[in-house]
Amino acid sequence: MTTKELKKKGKAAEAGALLAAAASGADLRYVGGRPVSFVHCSVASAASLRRALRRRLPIVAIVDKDTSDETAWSLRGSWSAAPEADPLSTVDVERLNRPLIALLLEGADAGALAPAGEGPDIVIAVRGDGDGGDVDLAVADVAGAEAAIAEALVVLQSVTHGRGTVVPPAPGSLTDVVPFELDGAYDMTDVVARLVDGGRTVPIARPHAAGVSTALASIGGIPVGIMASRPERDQGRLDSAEIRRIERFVRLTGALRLPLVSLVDTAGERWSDSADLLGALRDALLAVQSPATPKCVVITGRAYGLGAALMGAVAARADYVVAWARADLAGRAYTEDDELGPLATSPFAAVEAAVIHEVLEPDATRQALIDVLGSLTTVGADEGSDGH
Amino acid sequence: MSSPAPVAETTSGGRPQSWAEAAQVLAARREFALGMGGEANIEKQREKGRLTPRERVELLFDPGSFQEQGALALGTLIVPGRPDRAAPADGIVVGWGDVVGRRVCVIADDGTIAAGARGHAANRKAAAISAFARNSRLPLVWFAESSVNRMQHVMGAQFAGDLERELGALPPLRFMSSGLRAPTVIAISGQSVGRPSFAAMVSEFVTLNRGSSAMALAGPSIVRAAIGGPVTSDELGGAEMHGKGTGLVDYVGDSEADSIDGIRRFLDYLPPYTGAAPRRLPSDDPGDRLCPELYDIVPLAYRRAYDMRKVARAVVDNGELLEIKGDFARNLVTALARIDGWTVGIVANNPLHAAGIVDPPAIQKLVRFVQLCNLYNIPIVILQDQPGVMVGPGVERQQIVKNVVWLSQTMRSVTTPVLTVLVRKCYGFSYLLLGARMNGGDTVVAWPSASISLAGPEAGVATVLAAEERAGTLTDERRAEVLAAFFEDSRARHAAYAGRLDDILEPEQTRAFLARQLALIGIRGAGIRYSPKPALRQ
Repeated sequence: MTTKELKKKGKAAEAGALLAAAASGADLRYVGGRPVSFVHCSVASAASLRRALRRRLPIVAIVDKDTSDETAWSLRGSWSAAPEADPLSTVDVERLNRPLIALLLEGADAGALAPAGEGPDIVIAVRGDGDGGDVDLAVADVAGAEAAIAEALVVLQSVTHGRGTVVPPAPGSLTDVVPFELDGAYDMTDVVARLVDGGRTVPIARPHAAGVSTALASIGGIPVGIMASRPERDQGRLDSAEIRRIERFVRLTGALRLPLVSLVDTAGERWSDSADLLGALRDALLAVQSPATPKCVVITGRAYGLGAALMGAVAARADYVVAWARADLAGRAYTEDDELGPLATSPFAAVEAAVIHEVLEPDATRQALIDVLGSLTTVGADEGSDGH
Repeated sequence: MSSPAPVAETTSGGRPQSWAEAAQVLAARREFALGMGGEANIEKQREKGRLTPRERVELLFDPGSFQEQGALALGTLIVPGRPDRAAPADGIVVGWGDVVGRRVCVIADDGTIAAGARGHAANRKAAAISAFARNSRLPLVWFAESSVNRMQHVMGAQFAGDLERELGALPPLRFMSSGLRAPTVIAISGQSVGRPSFAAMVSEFVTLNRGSSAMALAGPSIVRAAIGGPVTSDELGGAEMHGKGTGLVDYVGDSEADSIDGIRRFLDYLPPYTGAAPRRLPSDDPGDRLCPELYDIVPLAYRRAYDMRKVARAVVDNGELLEIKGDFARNLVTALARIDGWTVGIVANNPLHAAGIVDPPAIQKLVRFVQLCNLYNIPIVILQDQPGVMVGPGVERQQIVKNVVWLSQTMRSVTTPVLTVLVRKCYGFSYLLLGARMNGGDTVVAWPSASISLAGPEAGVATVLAAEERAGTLTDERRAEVLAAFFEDSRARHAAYAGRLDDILEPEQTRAFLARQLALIGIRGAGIRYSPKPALRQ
């Protein structure tokens, strides 16, 4: 069936797409009204894999307990690493530049997959506990997986097909949900909802690193990756798992060519296991210092220490850094009677020195991001940005 | 608006305590930034015939599209014995907006504050917007007015520290090292010495305002101290020096508004960055329009002068040309224009000046323009009417041999399409240099009036019959006979018969022919880079 025929057929082909594809080895199906190539890695032949790649459609690769490591690895990265060993080496996958989602059925080994940036863009596990380290989203059943794929494709499709429709964010003023006082509690989810189109995101969730949230969304019709610290949890301090999550998400947005929007309200890092934390910091700093895509940073509250640097507050390279008037910038977490005296800098002092670009009213943030992203995303999808 | 207040009065003593208070502080600070150097300094700026940076930005961008970045930056003007004063926005306006519907970044030095000298925050702002433009492949316009660092920031050992790092981050000097890049425009808007002068040399377009701006390595006071004698900034680097003398400036505006209009037109012709093709705009001038006026413009008598710019205007859309380096090497015209909506670069000998001869200044002008067109995928249209390369001790001193080789190598490395129209005289080695097939010409056509030869018929007669002349046996009849034979042999149709030209074209068909060729190029994609042309493709 050609793509054209499939489009004519429309949503009628959607029902049971995932399971039907799993049985047939490779197939074209609709998910959420969008054509998708399904490939079952245990069943599909090399020829059908090649056909799927050449369709230039998003691919959902199904991996089960019978899928060999070699096949799983060949989903993306290993082709460029060892092209002579792979029957699909004639296909320039990076050039085709379309999303690749891996779906792990029950019993599949997440460790067989290459890491994000080299392997699949998103890894969804059915009935997995999400603790495998490389799983982005754990769902309860196949139906849940189909819904998650449809959600992800809403964003991922727009990566290769330009801007989507602009939808207003969640209603209400940000100043109503965020108190001006630095110690005032608020839920960062409310902030995100008032910045993104429709107030809606596709969470890239990892249950064991809940101190930071990561999601795909659109702002002004421009698809973006959003990461945000969660000040309601221990003042947004980051432990090693959360730092690894940041690293993986930065790499993921790079692989998807998505601009990154970072919302920062963190008191720094949580030194529970120093060696582990140092290792995570090292890896993550390398990732955030050389992002493959544009990065915009909004400092909504505390921006302390390496945690804030990781999220792009000041030290890491960013294309656009703004702060709200309630923000507080410091090299490390501090107390009022700190022996080193006042350590913090107000956002006004920071902008006076041109260390950040702007101090913004919270409700002006969305429009500012749209304006900046509109400029930054004029670069071709296959071109990264370079540093200062 | 009042003069900038001391720092203590403009910075917040404490932090705002509520969202409402924060909004008030922000509004007040933004208002302060809009005041620039205060009314007195703005008036001084106007007396010099110069605009303020915010007026320049307003003229550059489409109405309502400018978005400023870093307006809340604040510098300090420190003069011993006087109270410290604030420098709103630290003396520089940066941001982005739309020029003819396309996004462009801007740096505008503020001459109303410390004569445009910068502080540390200003340097950070300039570096940040430059990086933003570079990362986004957006064109960058820099209104340069002084642009040096404030003396108090560079005195002593600090010079080797912060400043070194800040300057190291500054494009466009680094900008040029990038393989993929967007155009940079340097608008010399005041007395610019040092940094902006260097930047101008590696930028795509440089403008200067007649009577109110100058570009030099060092200003009059330094020059007087170094070599003595009175000298003005206009004599050092004004319109006469760089518009006519050196050709280092691409466009000399009669006013700032004129220069800014030139910048808008320039950016409109170019694609946003080197990997893209120029956009085609709908034209109300039909592509197949005939140009019968060309018969009146171009005289058939080879020794009669005419203005090639009239030919170019007749051929392009609505007669609109943006001449580059118009006052420099006027024996050669380089201009951007559109034909049937397609952007083209026009290269044309101008017989109105020095018979259109090819000399070192013309070669320098030509090479820079061809490099620009090649870099931005702009097809080149060459209108050739020249008697050859200039000879004599004068041009030998100007390294004419080296210049000819430089031109030849440039033309051979061109990857953008080259369409050559031979109008009248096409003599000497320069015939080959200016868009012949061996030097990059993709399509070479000639008017019936074209004459092609290694040397002009008169020069050929003088050489061939030299022995007879020395012996005293040369008669007028003999000279006329050989001359007529040389004229006949040099007719373009003979080259066409031998397949060395693509066609003989009626002059009135020139526009329609070029429009068809450009449409073909448009179909295959001017933005697609081809491998360099082979050296010889006869």
